[in-house]
Amino acid sequence: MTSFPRPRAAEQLEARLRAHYAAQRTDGRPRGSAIGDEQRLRQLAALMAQERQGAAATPRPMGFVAFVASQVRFVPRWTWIVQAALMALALLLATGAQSAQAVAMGTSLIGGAAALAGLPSLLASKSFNTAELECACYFDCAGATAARLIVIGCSDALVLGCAALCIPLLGALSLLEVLLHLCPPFFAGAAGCLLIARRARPANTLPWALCWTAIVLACAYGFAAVAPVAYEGTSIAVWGCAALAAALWLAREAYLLLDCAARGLDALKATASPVW
Amino acid sequence: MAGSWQSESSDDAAVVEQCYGDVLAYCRRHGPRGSAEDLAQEVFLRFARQSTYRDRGTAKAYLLAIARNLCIDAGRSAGRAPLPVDPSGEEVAAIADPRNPIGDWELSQALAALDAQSREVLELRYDQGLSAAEMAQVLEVSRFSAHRRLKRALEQLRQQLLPADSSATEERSPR
Repeated sequence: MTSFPRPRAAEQLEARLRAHYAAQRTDGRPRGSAIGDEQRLRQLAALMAQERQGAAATPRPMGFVAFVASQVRFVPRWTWIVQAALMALALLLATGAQSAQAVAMGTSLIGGAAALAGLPSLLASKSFNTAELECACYFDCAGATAARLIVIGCSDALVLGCAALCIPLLGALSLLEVLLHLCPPFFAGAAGCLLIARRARPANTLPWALCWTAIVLACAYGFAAVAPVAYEGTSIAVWGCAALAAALWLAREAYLLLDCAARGLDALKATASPVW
Repeated sequence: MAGSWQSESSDDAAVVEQCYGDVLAYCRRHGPRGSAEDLAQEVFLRFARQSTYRDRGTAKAYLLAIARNLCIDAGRSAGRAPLPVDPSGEEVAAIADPRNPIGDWELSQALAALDAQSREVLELRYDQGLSAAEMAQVLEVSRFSAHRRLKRALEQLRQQLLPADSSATEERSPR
């Protein structure tokens, strides 16, 4: 047995390994290979340059967050104008309304109208029969619909949040009351619009959505105008239940719409068998 | 220079010149038989596609990491584990022929008796000349783990060589 001290033995083994591997190479290169051919190496370097140029020219895939952000520029300008107008209306209501009942009714109308404002941009692919095109894209129809739902939802949340903050500060209602008057019409209006979007013909979507929103607003106005005592007297619990029910309906409709879009070309395109 | 090189187009020729032999040697040992040159070329093309690659270590370590993944994929596609082959394309058994030794025959035998993981770590250290950090990058493990694997591989190799050394000593010693 080799009787070197252990560190020296280790060094010897390492040197032996290096020598062994080096012996398997010729001039630092594998024996018997064709890499001595300089032309081959030059060709590989040229191929690498081509790949690099191709990789630089190919746009990098966009992440979903960036995709959602990119959808903002596809939302029509008038949608933002309507939402700004709704915020101005909330401010006006907070400062100029004569009674709490008027404020409550106004907030309900704002909630219902906010739901309608984003619908056309949300369903642009259906209205313009481009669902098939979107289905073939990197982010398909379901992705585009989800992204627009997020954009419009965030925008609506901002409008309603501002209204819910400024009315209690300047008006007569508490934050909870304002929210309870805002949310049921908004959720019901938005859920109904999504239902219409899923089932109506493309040409009929907007008229039906307008009708539905008008019905929601009329109900809110009628309830406040015809039975003001009942409207004001309705307990927070009842308003809360109504808001919860409408929110659940909205969540279901949003899920069904995305599921419908994800099912492919026949779901949202014009030739699908529409109900209305 | 480690950590600061940039894979610009003008450097491609230099990277190929410096590293092609190492990558090809790795692919010959770990890739399916007969596919080493294709694998080596694909390694460099993938390297070139990483146009945003910066500061992830030396080019050689990154190339070997790509080569390792490609060899694993190629082995899976071929439906079998890659055969250990020597740099000239012959199997290890041919290297281990004492009548026609390439390198150290006794060491070849001892290396062939080790598991694939130990052989790979020894090869990365003593053939490719990688540091512990670079080995860790190629093997996708921590630096500590790479160092531990190397120590274990050396110990196993020493154990493999021990009986041979003993018998050789006995044969040389006067009776």
